[in-house]
Amino acid sequence: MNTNRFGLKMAPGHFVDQRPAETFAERPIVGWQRDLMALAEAMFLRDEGPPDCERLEWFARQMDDFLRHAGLRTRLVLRGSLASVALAVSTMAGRPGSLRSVSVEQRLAGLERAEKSPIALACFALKAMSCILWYEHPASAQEIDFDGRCRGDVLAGEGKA
Amino acid sequence: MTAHDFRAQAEILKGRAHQGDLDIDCDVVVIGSGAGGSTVAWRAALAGKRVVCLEEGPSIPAAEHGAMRPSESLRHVWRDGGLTFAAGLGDSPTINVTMGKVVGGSSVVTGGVCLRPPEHILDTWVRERGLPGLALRHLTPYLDEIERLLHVEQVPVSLRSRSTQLFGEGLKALHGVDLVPLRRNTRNCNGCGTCNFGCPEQRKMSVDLALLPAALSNGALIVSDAHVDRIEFKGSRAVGVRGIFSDGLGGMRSGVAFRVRADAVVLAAGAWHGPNILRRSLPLWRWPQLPHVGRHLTLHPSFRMLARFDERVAGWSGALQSAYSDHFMKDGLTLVSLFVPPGVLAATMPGFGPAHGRRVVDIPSLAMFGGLIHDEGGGTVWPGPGKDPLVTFRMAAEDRAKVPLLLKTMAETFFAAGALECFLPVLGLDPVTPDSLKTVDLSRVPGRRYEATSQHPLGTLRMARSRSEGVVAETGQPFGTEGLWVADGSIVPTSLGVNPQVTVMAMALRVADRMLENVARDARCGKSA
Repeated sequence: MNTNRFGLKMAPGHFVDQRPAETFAERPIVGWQRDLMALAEAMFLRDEGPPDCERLEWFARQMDDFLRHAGLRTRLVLRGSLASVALAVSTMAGRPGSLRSVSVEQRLAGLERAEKSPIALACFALKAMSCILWYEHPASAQEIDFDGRCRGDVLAGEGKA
Repeated sequence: MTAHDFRAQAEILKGRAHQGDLDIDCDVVVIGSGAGGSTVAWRAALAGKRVVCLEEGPSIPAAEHGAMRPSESLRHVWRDGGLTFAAGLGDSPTINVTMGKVVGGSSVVTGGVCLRPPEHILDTWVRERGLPGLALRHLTPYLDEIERLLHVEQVPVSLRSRSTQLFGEGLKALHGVDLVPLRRNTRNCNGCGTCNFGCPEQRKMSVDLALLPAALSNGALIVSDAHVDRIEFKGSRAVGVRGIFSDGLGGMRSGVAFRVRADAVVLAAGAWHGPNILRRSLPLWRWPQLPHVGRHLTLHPSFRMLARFDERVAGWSGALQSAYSDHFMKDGLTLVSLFVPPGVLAATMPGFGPAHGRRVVDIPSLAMFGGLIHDEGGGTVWPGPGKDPLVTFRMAAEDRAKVPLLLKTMAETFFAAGALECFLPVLGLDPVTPDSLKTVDLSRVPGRRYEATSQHPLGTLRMARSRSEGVVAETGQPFGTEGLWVADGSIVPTSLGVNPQVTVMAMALRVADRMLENVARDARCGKSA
């Protein structure tokens, strides 16, 4: 501890994320996260099949943590976007409000239509944040052959630095 | 050489951890620790003043930021998790405006581009706006000093990513011109391409590294997590500020208040929040005296272009921003190199499911370039619900007409370099080939379908010769007030057409000098608070 010129005791320290003690992995998955997972299952469907449950849960928890930190307005924007896209997709499939009972193929078709509809912006907001989080998963770097190498290191490796 | 880091963080008071209320007297209180606020705090601290600098966001050492994933940076360092927006009115696109909310402000989340204001813009300010003090010859000493402080250097050609090289090849083939090297505030950049999500090697000289350590070592007190509610006035004289600490969790407040009394109050909260702090601080009957508060917001609306090539591009490998083209400046367009993380790239590609997945695995083959529009200022910052502003943006018709021109120019340039297809920033639009580009009528795309961003909100408390044209005088003082100065992007009189950090800092330094002269004069005359 030292005292600054204003007479205040100053403690050394660094950025501390003052989240509650519970780890975010322990929080139960709630309704909006299940809707998010249902949309993500279609969003990230691959030729080989849908993503596994563990990754979908990891993604839903990441989104929860993001929203807890990003501020009230962002929570409203993203949760509002999720609700409107979920409603639109389920309605297009003929089951308004029951997204999770809609097949993954119908969810995919609904998302594709939503992207070109008047709710395109809400759809984009949701897709943007979902992709940023989804592709941070350790498995993604391999999936997209992303090595993240700095240019200086590449040049040094080639003897050009 | 490694960058100077916040080892002196012992002097940053973290509001989120502060027990009890805080009451301080000082000479100068600065609201905001971004490019403008840090400059004033630095100058005043070195002049021997007792300075308190209040920052709404947290204090995050550069090394910690550099180790974060992009989404961690968004949630801890960026305002609103990176999802702040200006709502488009009429046929204008809604624009995602990115800003930092952290000690160091938006300088922490920029690509580091440091370009001087174009001479013809400064001429306009002198001739048409009646601001002779902003003439190039008067600003040059300040620009020189800022460039020295920030260690502004030219990005070597060797640090250009393959993505930038390809755009440069197209530009040469199509228009016969070369890309111009950018100047940035870096020290031995290693070309990791992640400047705006934190430099992994702390080589970007944002103000938290370039200025605040010197301010701290000269006795300035920096307070993080400090949300300023209002400036306190005694008559027309500003005498201090009041606010409340946040707890760092999504902006929720702990209820612990602070009050700082000062001889000089400097508002440097940026063009987004500054107007509403001023509005909250002035009695309603005084609002009509400053009719331009919150108006004239310019954004430099920016658009990206992705292009797929038949080669491995690995566009992330290189300086995030290394070169630009001013060849289209006469059309109000500036083209600037950039790249974004894979997750952001994936978000900007159309489609979902397997089709989207096939595009995503092509990310290593993608090149990217950006373009910004020198706009005329159709934005307004309104008082919003809670303490957050509501911002609207109506693009001037001539600016709106530039959007198709910009996109076509960038796509044609990439095709001239051999791109197979381009992804236009139009929501839901499939990629275009050289042939299909000719059939796309971009002038018929509604504004709401454009994907636009901005990093440069300016002008909402603009400098002018009188209160009938703007909010602050050439000294930086709002008309009709004493003891208050504004020193951030909000005072920039018009759009610049180039990245504004250096201009903002030079103007802030000039304001700081006027403020210090004024404080000294008031002290001699016994007029201080």
